[in-house]
Amino acid sequence: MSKEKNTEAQKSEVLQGTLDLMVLKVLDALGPQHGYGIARRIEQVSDQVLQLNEGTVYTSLLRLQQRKWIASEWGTSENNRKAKYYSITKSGRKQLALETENWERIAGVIGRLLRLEG
Amino acid sequence: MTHYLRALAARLRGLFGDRRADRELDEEIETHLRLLTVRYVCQGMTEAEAARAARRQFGNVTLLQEAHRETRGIRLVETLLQDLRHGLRVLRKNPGFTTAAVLSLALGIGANLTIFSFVDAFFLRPIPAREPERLVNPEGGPNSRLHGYYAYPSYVHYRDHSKTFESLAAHYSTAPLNLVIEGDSRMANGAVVSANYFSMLGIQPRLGRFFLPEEDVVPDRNPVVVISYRMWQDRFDGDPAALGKKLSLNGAACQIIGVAPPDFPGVLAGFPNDIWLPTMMLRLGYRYCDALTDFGCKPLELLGRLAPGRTLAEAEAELNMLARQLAAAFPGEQGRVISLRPALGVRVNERVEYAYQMRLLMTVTGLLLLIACANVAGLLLVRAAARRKEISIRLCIGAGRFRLIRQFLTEGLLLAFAGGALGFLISRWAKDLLAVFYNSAGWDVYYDLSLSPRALIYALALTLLTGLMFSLPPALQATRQDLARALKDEGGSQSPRRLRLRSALVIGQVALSLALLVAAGLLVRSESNIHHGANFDPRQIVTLRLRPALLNYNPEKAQAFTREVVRRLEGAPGVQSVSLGSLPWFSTSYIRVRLPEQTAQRAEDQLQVYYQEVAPRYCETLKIPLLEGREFNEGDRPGAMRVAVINETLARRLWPQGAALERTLILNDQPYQVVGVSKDARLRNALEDQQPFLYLPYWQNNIRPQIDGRLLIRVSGDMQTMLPSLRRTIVAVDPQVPLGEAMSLGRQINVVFKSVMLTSAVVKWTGAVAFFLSMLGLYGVLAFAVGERKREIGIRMALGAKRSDVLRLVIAQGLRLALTGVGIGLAAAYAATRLVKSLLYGVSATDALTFTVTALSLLVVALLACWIPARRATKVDPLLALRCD
Repeated sequence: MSKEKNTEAQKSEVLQGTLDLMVLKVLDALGPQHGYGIARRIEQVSDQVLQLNEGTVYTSLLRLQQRKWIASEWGTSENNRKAKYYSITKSGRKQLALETENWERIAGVIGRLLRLEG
Repeated sequence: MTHYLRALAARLRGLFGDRRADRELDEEIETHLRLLTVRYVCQGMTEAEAARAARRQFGNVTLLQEAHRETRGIRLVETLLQDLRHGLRVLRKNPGFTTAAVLSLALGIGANLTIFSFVDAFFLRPIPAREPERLVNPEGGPNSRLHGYYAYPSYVHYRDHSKTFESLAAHYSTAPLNLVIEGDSRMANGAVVSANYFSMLGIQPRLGRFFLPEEDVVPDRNPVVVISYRMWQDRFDGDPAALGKKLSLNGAACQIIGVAPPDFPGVLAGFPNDIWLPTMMLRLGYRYCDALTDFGCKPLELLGRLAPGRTLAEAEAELNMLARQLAAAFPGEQGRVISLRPALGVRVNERVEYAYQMRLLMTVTGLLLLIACANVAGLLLVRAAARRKEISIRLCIGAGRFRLIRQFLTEGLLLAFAGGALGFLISRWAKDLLAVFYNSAGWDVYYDLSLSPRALIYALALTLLTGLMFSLPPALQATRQDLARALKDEGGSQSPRRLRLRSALVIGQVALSLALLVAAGLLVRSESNIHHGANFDPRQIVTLRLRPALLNYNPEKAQAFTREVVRRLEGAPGVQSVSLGSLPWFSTSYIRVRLPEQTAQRAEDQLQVYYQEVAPRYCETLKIPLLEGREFNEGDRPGAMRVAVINETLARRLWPQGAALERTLILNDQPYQVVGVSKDARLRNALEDQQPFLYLPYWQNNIRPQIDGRLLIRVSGDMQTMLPSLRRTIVAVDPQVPLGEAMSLGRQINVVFKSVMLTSAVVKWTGAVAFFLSMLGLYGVLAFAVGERKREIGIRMALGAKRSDVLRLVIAQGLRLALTGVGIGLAAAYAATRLVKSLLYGVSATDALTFTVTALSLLVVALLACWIPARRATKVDPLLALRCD
């Protein structure tokens, strides 16, 4: 148990709130996706750095849907299973642009700050 | 901002479309897990390994479902619904408990709501008019030498000079009007009102019109009347042709010009009007002095509508300024201080009487509710004890204490609302039972007790409060437990603290119910003393008021009429004897009494004695025993020697040693001879000593010439069936003469002593219910204790304790509680019964007999309540009891 904890401690927790941004970005970049697809894409991009309970993707999807930033539709997956496909909406794109800009600004500030300290 | 609203809307949707969303999520999760598993299988894992890895990567499915539900629905409401469902299930599963609790609460809440109907009618109900919140009553202030009554000319001064009122009206709403329709004379409660009265109230006539300003200018010129909707229906069958018809009112012909709207009873709570006259016809309804011209004659009350934006304080200041102007010009108006109040409920003189009454009754019913709460709290504690294990397990597996308390409260509130609803129904029924003490056909008094929004709000608030009161203490206690011990389920583990709380509850219940029972006992004795009378017999007596004064009859004509009525009644079938007068209690006038050898001192130094003028055969009719001499006879007439009959107390007061007969008395400076001494017929109130009293002969016209009179008729047979034929006999003498207050003497006594009768009725029933509940509580706590001590009792019996020992053990425990309760209760009763002193007749507030008998009877029943569980304790089988863990 302690060994397991050790290995997992090397991965970073997904920052609160950033998952929503990631999900939006994935949907924006790849078009309609189901939850599994989104999880795969995040895994692929993060290159094993981020530790993600894939279930939380669905919480994020629900949140985004309640804000009407994404829409959903039932469809069929690659291996012929029923799956819900999510796609970004117009207001979702606007929100993504807004949050991206926001994120870059903050990241810039924090980067500068850390360099100063160093 | 908008997305929060959107999220909220989605959450609300989630609250209801729950099931489908759950299913969809489950499908998504399954697909996801399936795809992950396939992926791992492709990487070379076995199916089982792959499924495990997939689950690990996905995370906790249950948590996710919970999180989703939480995001979707509003958690609080959802768990509340869950609690409600759970609560309902629990209550349905224990029908005995539920019934007992709901009934206790229904009685407690019902009693309080019943009293509130009266509080509402007396103090809170607005006049049924447009924007009643702006209507105000100018009353006499606390330091005012004059009460809130006015003469017409002073009304005109206020009306014409005030600027803070949109409109100021005058009314005299208790005008006794005798109405003759087709030879049938009947009294109606009339109102003499200024022409602006209806327009100020802002109501529209049902038919015809209201008064025109020019109809209220010249005295006696316009005999026009508006009748009530009720009268229009009853007397004219709702026929529009009633407009323009003539009515004979107190002997004068008046024309109907309009019909008031259906729900308009006038402006004086308790005295609904059937006829309205303009103020210029005041002399028709008020005969005693001329209020239209004389500043000293003050029958009118004022009612005003504040101008928009004006405050009560501004208007009051202005009225007092106008009052000072009047006082400067007219000495009769000196010393008036006006206090302005919103026009709600009854007028000031009744307010004082009812405030005392209502405070008393609210206290009593409040105590009952407390007892009921204690009872239900006790039941809940027992149930919490039975559910100890369930609660412990839930606490162990992580249920929050707050969550459990909330569930207990939900159950409590469910009970409270069931009890409240039933109590509400009880109160709708019980208020009519109590209304007979206030509303009386003979006196034309009807308070509006119909349901009001205020009553509903009060019912809701009271129910909520009650629910919290009885369910919070058990909830707190039940969830504060020693988990380890409870889980081990020690059979004999009676939590001492729980039992202590229950015992305290029972002691409190017993004490409160004993105090109530003692008060009830005193009141019942007082009531029965009043009904059976002291030295008189009110049964089989019919009383009627003859009012020829309303027709302006002169004394000769009136007395000729009265003599003829008495003569004919004496000959009527079923009549035993007839006299004039009323009960000594009802006298409100007194006379100055001194002995001839005493010099005329200042008036206030002389004895003030209540008196009554009565006709021959008065003592015979009422069966008042005479100690010496005779009662009045036909010979006691004007011109003959002035005579008096005095009561025993007065005789002893004046002549402590000697006989009183034939002695001379000086009454209001006139000599009278004592011709008889009667026994005291006036009951002694606990607040006062025995009162001296004297009788003067009616026909001797000593004080002033007689015009009106009250008949006392002793009949054989049923009084209600006799009344119409007696009425016919009187009407045959003169159909115009107004007859009022026709009823049995017993009924009249009930009305005059309504505060005693009402309080007695309420306290009696409350006491009985409280007593029952407290005995139930005592029984409950003992039954519970016996259950808890089963093992201990088993051990005792195994060690050789006899059945009688066990019996004694349990009964002693119960009696200790009962005795403590009785002790506290007696002390409380001793302190509390002085509050009802003014309602006690013929019995003292600390009457030893009542205290003893009540305490003893309570103990006897308590013994019985202990005996049943004690018997059960003796049936404990030692072997079973020891083995049952």
